[in-house]
Amino acid sequence: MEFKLRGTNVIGIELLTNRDNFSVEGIKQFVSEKRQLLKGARFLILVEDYPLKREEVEELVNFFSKEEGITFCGFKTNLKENRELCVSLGVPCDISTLELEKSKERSPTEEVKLVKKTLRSGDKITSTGDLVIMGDVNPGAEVEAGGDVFVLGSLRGFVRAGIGKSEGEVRALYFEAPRLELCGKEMEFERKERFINFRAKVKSGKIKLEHLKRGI
Amino acid sequence: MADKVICITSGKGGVGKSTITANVATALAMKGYRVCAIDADIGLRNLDLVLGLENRIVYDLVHVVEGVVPPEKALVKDKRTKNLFLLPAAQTKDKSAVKPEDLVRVVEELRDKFDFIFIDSPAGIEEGFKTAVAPADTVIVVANPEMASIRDADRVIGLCEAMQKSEPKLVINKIDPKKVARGDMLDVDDVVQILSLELIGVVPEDKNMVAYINRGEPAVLFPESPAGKAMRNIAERLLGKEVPFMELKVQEGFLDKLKKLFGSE
Repeated sequence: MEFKLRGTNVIGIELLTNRDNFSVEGIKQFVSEKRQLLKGARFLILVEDYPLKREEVEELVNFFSKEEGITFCGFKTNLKENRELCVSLGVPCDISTLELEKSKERSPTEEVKLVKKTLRSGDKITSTGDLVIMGDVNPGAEVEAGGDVFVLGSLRGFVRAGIGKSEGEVRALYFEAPRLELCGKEMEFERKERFINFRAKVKSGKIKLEHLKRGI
Repeated sequence: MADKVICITSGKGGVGKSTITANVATALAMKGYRVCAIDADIGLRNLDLVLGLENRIVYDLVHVVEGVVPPEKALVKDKRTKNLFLLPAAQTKDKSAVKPEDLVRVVEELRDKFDFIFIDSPAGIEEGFKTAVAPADTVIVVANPEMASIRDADRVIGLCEAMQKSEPKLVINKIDPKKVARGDMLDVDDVVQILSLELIGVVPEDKNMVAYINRGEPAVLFPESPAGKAMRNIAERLLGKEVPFMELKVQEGFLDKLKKLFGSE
């Protein structure tokens, strides 16, 4: 059985397996063949979409304990049950960070909404997920989104983005709004404060403002 | 011919809806077109005052809607401009006296008899506004170069879009070149950028306007009035003619020149 490897000797090498190619005997044979290549490296097995069985984990751990020269560091997986099984057996197992972010930040009901018009005073647009506005947001208009908000025009109205989230961003080609709410954090701007290519971002609980030019 | 039934609205009060209605209607009537101006501001009628016809009113719009008289009988003929007629609003009733379908019916009855019908809308975005806009082929939004007026105008434009009306046209009223030059007032470009509508008129602030209104004489009757000239230009543009916008120059007084000479701000 042929498997793919990822990574370097310095940082660590991952053996990529999934539902189609996972087999204990196959892994054992592959590792025996590549023993020279894996010598001295941290070694991980990435298991995607395949629920591991207790005996498979035990057999692999046993196998690697006899393999000298290979430092077996455990599993990496996208399934919670695999992690729980490994933890119960005392074997290190990480949930893939990408999957972790996905499960934390984006639910399957979230939408991406595209609005192709200028939002005028009194208009209100909401989206459970991201919102892209191909037009302006005029003073008195309101925008609410569970995800990020991108305004391909002038943003002069009120935007509340990243509702209920810890990370998010608002972008606008031109920004002249008095107030902005992002991930529950409020930002206030001075009258006549204008930004070109404006970007407000909340990451790790901190607000970051980026812009090409302040004022015109 | 361009659109026939034109509603003039703004959202905010006091921006000059009635003044623009009276003046543009007079300007078109002076050119020989048969024009009717309908005051849809029931309960707060003003258009008769601006046109100087307040003492000639016998019947009003509510009488027409209630079927007391036919629309032709309620029309008041202008004393100076022979092709101009006014259908006044009732002063003793309120906005609920005329429903949108009532005004649509009245306008349909008058449509064939006139080249242009202007409807002067009340301020606000409630029933009265909806009634005034309902029969219109086109809507003209009047805005002053200040944020409160622009925000209200923007709301009205949104409501017109929701009512499936064609894109409104924009008139900027009471612009003061001196204040614009000082940076105290938004300029024409700022307003057009926010409202993104076709501009059909820029009317400068005119110190004589209050006097014209109090005398009941539309400014378009006076060739020396800059506001009158701007409103005659709006009439030309409504006829589909290409008229360049007036250059708004800052007029320097003797004191300004003296200050400049000595270099003080």
